[in-house]
Amino acid sequence: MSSIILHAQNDEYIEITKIDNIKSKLATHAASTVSIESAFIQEKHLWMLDEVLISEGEFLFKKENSVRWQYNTPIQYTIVIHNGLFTIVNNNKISEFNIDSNPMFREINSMIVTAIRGDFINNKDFEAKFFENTENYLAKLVPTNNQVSSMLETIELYFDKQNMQVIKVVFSEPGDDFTLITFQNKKINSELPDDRFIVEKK
Amino acid sequence: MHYFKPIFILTLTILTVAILSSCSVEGYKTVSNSNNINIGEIQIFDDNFEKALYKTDIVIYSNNLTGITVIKKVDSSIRVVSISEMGMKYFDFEFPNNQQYEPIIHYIMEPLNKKLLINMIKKDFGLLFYLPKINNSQVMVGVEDKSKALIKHNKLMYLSDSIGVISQIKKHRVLLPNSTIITLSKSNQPYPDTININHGKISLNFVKLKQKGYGK
Repeated sequence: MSSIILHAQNDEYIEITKIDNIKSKLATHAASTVSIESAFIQEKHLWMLDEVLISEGEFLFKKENSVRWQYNTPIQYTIVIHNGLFTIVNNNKISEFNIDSNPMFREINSMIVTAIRGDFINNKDFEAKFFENTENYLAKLVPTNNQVSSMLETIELYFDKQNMQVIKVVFSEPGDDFTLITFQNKKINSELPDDRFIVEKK
Repeated sequence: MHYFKPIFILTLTILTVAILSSCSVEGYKTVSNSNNINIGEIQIFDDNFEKALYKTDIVIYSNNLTGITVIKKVDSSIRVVSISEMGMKYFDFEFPNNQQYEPIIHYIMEPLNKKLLINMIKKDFGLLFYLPKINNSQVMVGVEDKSKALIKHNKLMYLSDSIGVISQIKKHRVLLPNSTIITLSKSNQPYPDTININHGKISLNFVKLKQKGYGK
């Protein structure tokens, strides 16, 4: 396979063979990131239908393992991971699952936290390759688990070289469909009280 | 021989009731002058339908899958694609306009890849996209509200609140109450606002979502 990938703006990504430098940068960034607060736009590209479904929402992360993934449009849907619980709020209906007792939620939790922490080097769940262009690093992950790979061919994480923050993630499925998530208006290490990760039961 | 007589009479009575009940439907009467009504072609997704976006809630036994479904007219077929809120695809089916061709499964997520479910999706969406050609002898009208109509076609009954706009599809069952398979609501769009497909422990619910570019 060619080690050169064409970027949308024709800014070529070249494979990085010596990964010690990027590994160290990712580790430093992960260690110094206490919290992330960001808006996101999710584009689901359905190639055969020539359709792009756009969802928007808010993403919160707080060390060690608290995540709030909240969709505001076109539907309201929230996933919260906090204190070992995986909570889904859908249509004001709240469903709670213990992360450790449910293999699927354990897997989702692991994937989200792995991506945020940049903890995918030497991770047995993925084969990772790294690329760079003038502005960004790209981590291309191929799931090794057959169940995951039947649904997800690759995960591409794009990092800003200046600050090592994730700017976008692309989940590519077998076939040509993919999901692009772009993060905007990021606030790093802002004060995020725990109650932002607690779902209010009405 | 005398021993069998009561059984014979009972069987005959049951058969008579079954046949009569299959011909009459409570609240509806046959049309005496068929020229008074004009059903013509019945449609659920109109000719000028292009695409629709639905909030989706699928219940399979006690498992709940939620997300978004796109129904879109492509060259010579209609595609139905359901995805989760996070973008994970559940299934992608194609229903050719020509009913002689089988629906095509482009993708179905492994846990959903069950013959029972696949056949259900094919049949139920087939009911929405492939409607029978009707002649007036198949049509009954409401006894009290003549704008209501009931169309009988083989074992299926199509109920409409106003002539031509289907609100329910029921399956006729001998000696049992008719079962409602699909319930629909529709405003002035060329496609339903809500679609509820009900098979008891398996149900699929679709509620129209408003998003830019999704009007026709």
